[in-house]
Amino acid sequence: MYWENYYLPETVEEVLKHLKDSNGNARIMAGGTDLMILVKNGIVKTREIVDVCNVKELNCIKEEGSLIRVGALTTHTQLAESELLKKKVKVLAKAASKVGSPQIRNAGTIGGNVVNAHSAADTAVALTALNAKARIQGAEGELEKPVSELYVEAGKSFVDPTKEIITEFVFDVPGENEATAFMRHAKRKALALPILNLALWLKTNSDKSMIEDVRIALGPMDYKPLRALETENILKGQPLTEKTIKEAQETIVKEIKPRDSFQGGASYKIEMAKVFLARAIVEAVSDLGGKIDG
Amino acid sequence: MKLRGKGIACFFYGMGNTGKPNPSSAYVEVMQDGSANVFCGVADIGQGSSTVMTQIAAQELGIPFEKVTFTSADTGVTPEAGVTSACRQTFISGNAVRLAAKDAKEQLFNEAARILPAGIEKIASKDGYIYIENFPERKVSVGEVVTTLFKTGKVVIGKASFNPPIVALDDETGQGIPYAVYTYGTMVSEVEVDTETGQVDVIKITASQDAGKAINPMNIEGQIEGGIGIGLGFCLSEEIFLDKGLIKNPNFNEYLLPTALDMPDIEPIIVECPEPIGPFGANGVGEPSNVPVAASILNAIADAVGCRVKELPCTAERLYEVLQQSSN
Repeated sequence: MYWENYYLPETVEEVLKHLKDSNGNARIMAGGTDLMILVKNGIVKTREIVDVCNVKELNCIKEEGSLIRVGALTTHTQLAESELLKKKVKVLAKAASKVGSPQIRNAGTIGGNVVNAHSAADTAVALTALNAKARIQGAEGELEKPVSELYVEAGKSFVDPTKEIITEFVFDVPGENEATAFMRHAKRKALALPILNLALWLKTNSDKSMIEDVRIALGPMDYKPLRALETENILKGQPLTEKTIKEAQETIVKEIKPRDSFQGGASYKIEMAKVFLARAIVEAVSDLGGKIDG
Repeated sequence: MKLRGKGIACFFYGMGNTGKPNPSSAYVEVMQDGSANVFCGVADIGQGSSTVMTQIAAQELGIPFEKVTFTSADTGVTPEAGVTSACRQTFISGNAVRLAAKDAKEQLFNEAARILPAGIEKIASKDGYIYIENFPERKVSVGEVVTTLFKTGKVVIGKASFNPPIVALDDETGQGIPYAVYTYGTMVSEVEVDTETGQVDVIKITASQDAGKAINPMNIEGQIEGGIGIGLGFCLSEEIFLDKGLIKNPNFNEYLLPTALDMPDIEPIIVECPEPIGPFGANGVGEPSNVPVAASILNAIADAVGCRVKELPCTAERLYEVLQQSSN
C-alpha cells in the first residue's frame, strides 16, 4: 500500500484535526487526479491520506452581494456547468471545461488545481485574471491571500497540504461593462497540456469605446500564471481600435518568455500569445455588445 | 481566418505476409445435437475475427450461427493460424475454416444422400437441415445425420489448411507475386484550417473500401473508423522525441493519440467486389483504411491554404511556419 491510513472526514474542523494529530505525516487529497500519480510514482510520499471529498461545506458556488464565492472542493464539471458562472464569469466556466477529460473534470477540484501549483492549470490562470483571493484555514487560524501569491516555485504551493486547506476562492462579480474570456490552444482537443492558455478580464467605459481596466493572465510562461502587466498598462485608457490591439500584441511579445517544450517552441508560443490576446479582447468586447473600430 | 478544403487519396493493399508462405488451419467437429465446435488458432485482438470465423463456419455447414462454438488462439487445442497481422485472418483463416467446414459437410452429405435418398450433387443444407434442393420438404436434421453416423462408428470431423498462392520474391531481382489478393479504396477528407494558428480541424472523412464480401458490415465499419483514428494521429499529433536514442516522451500524456473529440465525422462506404479466392468472396479490411488518411488530410490542407507541410505530424506549429514562409 502507498499509505498506512486513509481518512474521510466530513467537516473542515475534522480535516484540520487529522492534519494536526498526524504532525506532518498526513496530506490532503481533493480529487486525487494529480496527487495519486505523484504518490504512485513515489514522487510524493505520505503516511496518511485525508480525503476531503466528503466535506460538503466546501462544495458551492455562491453570489453574495458584490462577491462570488467558490468552495475549494467544487469540481471542474460543476464550475463548467454552473449557470451563474456561465452567465457572469465565463472565463472560469470555460477554463474548467477545458481541464483534462470528463473523468478528470468530475473528480478534480478547483482547490486541487491551484494547490498543485502548475503554471498552466486552467482554473488557476482564470482565477489570476479575476484577481481572486484564496481563504486558507490551518491550525493557527485563517488567512486570505491572492491566488497570484500562492506560488513558491514550479509545482510548489504556498499552501502546505500537510498543515492547511484552501476553503474557498473569492472574487468580485464582474459588473456592468465588464467581461471575461478564456482561450486555450493545445495539440489535441482533450487531455493535453496547453501550448498556451490565456484569461482576460476587461472593463470598458459606458459606451464601450475605451478600455478602462484590464487583467491578462497566461500559462505556461513562468513558475506561476503570468500577469501581463505591461500589456495591461498599454491597454488601459486606450480606445477599442485595431491599433490598440496591435500595440498590445507588440507589447506582449516583449513581456513573455516561454520555453521550448513538447507542446511547442518558444517562438510559436509568442506568436500564439499575440493571436489569442487579440481573440480574447474581441470576444470580451463583443460579449459587451461593443466592437473594435478599424 | 478559417479556410476549408477537401483532399482525396487512393490506395491498394496486399493481404498476408509478403512473398512468404503463411498458412492457417482449422478443425470442425459436428455434434449429435446439430451444433459444431470449430477450432482455429486465429487470435481475436478486438477486430472481430472470432465472430467472422463463426459466421463462415455456420454459413458453410448450413447451421444457425448460435449453434457454432468457436475456440480461438489456444495453443493447447487450436491448430496453427499464423499471426493476426497483415489483414490476413479473414482471407486466410477464413478460408481454412470454410474448407474445414466443407470437409465436415461432405461427410454429412454422403450420409444424408443415403438417408434421403438423393444424389449428393442435388442436396444442400440450411438452418440445421440437409434437404433436396428441388424438393426442400424432403429433409433430415444435421443432428440426426451425425447420430446415424455415430451409430455406425463414425465421427464427423473436418480439417483443412489454406496457404495463399504467392510466388516467392527473387533474391536478386525482387520479382515474384508478393500477395495473392489486394484490397482497394478511396478516402476524401474535409478540413478547416485556422490560418492564424495553423490548427487543423478534420471535419469529415468519407472512406470507401473494397471488402470483397462484407461478412460482418458493422465490424468493417468499425475497422474503417479505427484505421482513420490511427491515420489521424499519424498525420496530426503523434510524434516521438528522441535524445541520443532515448525516447523523451514515452507516456501517452505527451505522445498524443487522437481523443474522441479529435475524431471527425466518418462516413464509411463498403464496396463489395468479390475476391475469387476469398471465403465467400471476402478479403481483409483491418489496416488498409489507415493507409490514405494522412495523404487525404494533407491534400485537403493544401486545397484550403495552398501550401504543404512535408514533415509529419502536421502540428499546428509546423503548418503555421509553412504558412508564414508562403506568405512572405
